[in-house]
Amino acid sequence: MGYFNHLTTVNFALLMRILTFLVLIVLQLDLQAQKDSIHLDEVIITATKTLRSLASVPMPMTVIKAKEIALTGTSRLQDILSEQNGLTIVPQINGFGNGLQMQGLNPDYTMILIDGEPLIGRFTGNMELNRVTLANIRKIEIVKGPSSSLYGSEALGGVVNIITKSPEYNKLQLGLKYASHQTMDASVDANYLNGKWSLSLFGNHYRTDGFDLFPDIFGQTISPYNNSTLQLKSKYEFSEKHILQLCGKAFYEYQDNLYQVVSGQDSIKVSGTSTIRDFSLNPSYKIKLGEKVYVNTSVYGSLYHTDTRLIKNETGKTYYTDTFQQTFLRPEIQTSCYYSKNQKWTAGLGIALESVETSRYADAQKRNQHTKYVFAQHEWSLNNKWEIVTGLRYDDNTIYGSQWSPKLAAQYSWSDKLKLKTSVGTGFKSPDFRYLYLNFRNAAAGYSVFGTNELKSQIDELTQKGEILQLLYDVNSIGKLSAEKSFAINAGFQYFYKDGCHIDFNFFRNDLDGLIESQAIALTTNLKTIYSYANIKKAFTQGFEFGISHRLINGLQIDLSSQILYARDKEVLDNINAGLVFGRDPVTKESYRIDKSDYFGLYNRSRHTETIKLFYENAKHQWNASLRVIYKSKFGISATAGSVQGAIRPSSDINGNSILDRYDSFVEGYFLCNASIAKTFFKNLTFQMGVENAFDYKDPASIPNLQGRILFINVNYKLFKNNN
Amino acid sequence: MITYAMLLSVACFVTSCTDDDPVIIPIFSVSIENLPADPATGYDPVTGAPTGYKNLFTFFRFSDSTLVPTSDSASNKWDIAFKSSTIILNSGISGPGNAGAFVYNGLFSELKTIPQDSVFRSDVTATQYAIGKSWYNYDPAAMILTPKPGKVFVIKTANNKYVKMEILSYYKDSPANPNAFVDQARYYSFRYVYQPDGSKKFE
Repeated sequence: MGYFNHLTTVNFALLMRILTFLVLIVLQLDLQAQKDSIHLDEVIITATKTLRSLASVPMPMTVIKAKEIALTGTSRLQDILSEQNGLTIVPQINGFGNGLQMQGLNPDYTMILIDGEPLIGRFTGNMELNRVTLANIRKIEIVKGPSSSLYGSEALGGVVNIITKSPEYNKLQLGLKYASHQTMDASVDANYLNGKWSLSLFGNHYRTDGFDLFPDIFGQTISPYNNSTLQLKSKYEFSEKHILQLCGKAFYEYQDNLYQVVSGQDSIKVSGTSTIRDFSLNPSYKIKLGEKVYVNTSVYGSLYHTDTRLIKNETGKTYYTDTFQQTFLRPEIQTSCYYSKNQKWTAGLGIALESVETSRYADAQKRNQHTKYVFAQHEWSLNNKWEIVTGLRYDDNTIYGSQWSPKLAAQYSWSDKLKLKTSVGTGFKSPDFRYLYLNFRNAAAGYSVFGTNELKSQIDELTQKGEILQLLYDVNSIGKLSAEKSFAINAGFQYFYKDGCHIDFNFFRNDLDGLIESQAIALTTNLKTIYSYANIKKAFTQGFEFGISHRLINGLQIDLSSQILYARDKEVLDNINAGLVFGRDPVTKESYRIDKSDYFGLYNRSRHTETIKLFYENAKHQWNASLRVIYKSKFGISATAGSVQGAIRPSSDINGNSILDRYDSFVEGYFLCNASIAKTFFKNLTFQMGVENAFDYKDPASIPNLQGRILFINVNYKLFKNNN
Repeated sequence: MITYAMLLSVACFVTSCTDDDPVIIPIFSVSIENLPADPATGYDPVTGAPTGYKNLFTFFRFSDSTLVPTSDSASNKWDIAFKSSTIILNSGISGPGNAGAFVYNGLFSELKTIPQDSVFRSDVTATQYAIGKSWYNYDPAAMILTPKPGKVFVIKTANNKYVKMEILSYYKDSPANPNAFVDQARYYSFRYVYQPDGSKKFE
């Protein structure tokens, strides 16, 4: 690894790209590609809510198949997502979960679905992806670009749909993984088919000792925790035209905390438990009317509950208690009409009822919002050349009013091999409950945050008490928050140069408007700042994704991919253009003007991301192996300092202007290298071993979600009745 | 008791009209280091938190770079005063003088003439000082105050002379990377240019 440390980010990115082209040229010489083409026939549901072959989907998509998951030996959702081109798992400071960043957009803006239904339970916008086991996943479909025209709020940047396995034949599958940090992941998957009736029962238990990036500091970075998942899927086909399905899921997580909280001058050792409960139930009934029309009626209900109780070790007194409960209930009717051979209509309507009840809001009252929505989509295949998808959705929210979300996507087949794709659309995200109702006071760090609905009464109360020293912002102008919005363009091509081999290119640009940021509102007489929220920020992310997927006849598959990303705050750009952004040398204290070319962009985003993946399968001797290398170039972490496990996490901004520019201190670019090897005996018993982060790369303060090297072994046993 | 180092570098501008009648206009360019602005005088032995604030301003006069005793606070002898992150001018509710100021967004070296239409504000109320809080960032997690670059105070003194001033550090000895637990806060380092001829030019 030492050698690579001498390469600068840009050099490495360039090297990777040159290498990519060289490999491509070399591979072109290999003309005997394997016949069983995979990608073209893959059937996709997420992009249009109807079944389409991957080759005819006009939006940029990534599909992670069960086979890739099995080859890598990964067991939790974030592990496999972090290996995909253009996806980054962004650490949240203070250990409150990690979020998924797609096309440079914050984790808040990507919707996570399980079997097409939204996963709820975010903490400050982040969805903890370790909650989701990979053991019963058939595939993961990732649609990039706004998908609000089908999915509404939250699908502003894209959608990740985790599709779990449905029973295909009678089987019993057992999996057991054991990894570093006493991590154990055990699964049972039982499928039963009996004529018209099918049932699958899945259970998973995960436990880990957590990990400690700062051995000299009390406690651990991540305290030990365990969780269990139970899933049931049952289907009854009354006839070909009437299908009843029931899906249910229960999840429980328990964490035993022991750590140190540093807050101002004080450091407090705390301990206690936190639990997460997550239930969902999804009955649906599908009817086929005549030959052309399908109607699917479904109800999806989900409940997410967390409870945290911490005490001070020294005194045994309560340090912090927190409860949070979110519910989501959504009846929906969707109908698809195969109008003609080339045209398909899809329309749907529904209502989403949401509530949150938490100790984080004033008087811990239950808060509600409803969203009524209706959507329509038209899919059109024209002359075997064009695939055109037009969609429109209307959402009406009790708090935020109405939204129209249009989308247009088109694909043109230049030839059998070359497909050009473009999609244009808008996305939106209704503000979280916390932006309205949060009532948070951090006495030690000297600030409070109030949601916009709480703000006025809080300020009035403090004014009456004479505790407001100065208003920094007109309280009346804070008013109502509105949805955050995006407009995006994706354009690119797919070139299938050989069976099973293709080159993908996609340019993207997301223009974001009205992003919600915290806003300093007032200063109290004891010099504490009061914050609230406002739709203030405008930003954009743009760049391109490039990938080559190549198959060799001998069972070797090579995937190379790369993303270049520019993500910038538009107000900062305006100020730079006006010559009003400066930096100060921390040593000489001399000030200088920041140039447009000096501005790096938003925090937490690498300019270059590169991945190389090699998969090898030997069918004859039933063994396989994988090697995946992921590179992320330098990035900045934050305009303000934070702390990880009580250790200071310094700000990247060292020249005093709060923006990330070339004079600032960056987190170094880094590689992760993961590998695995597996051998199957008697067709149904597989042993696998592997390593994640093989070179043990760590940067504890800056990348607290990156634990060191992990070794694992995996045993999988499959018992089935009728092998197909 | 109060020590502060002063570096006085005088830039003398010589404008000669005739050989008989040379007019010398000296413009002072001054750097002040470690001006105390009510710093802590002790530390809590248990928590280590700073204690012993006196809650008093430190008064300063630009013309001769001198600290003015608190007893002269009701006079025209001072121009500007510092206490913690609060900066007041000898004007309005703060003093009997006619001082005023505004914050110019730009580089110190680039401000060569004060624009004619500039409005000098005075200290109106305790929440509306001429120099407010726009000149610094405060990081609540690290508890560090950082003067923003590109914020130049354009000041009219109590005696109607003009000054441009830039704050460089809020910590004793201007550390490159201040640490709230190591470095002593409330020590200003700043530089200024003083134009004694009453004009709005700084060169």
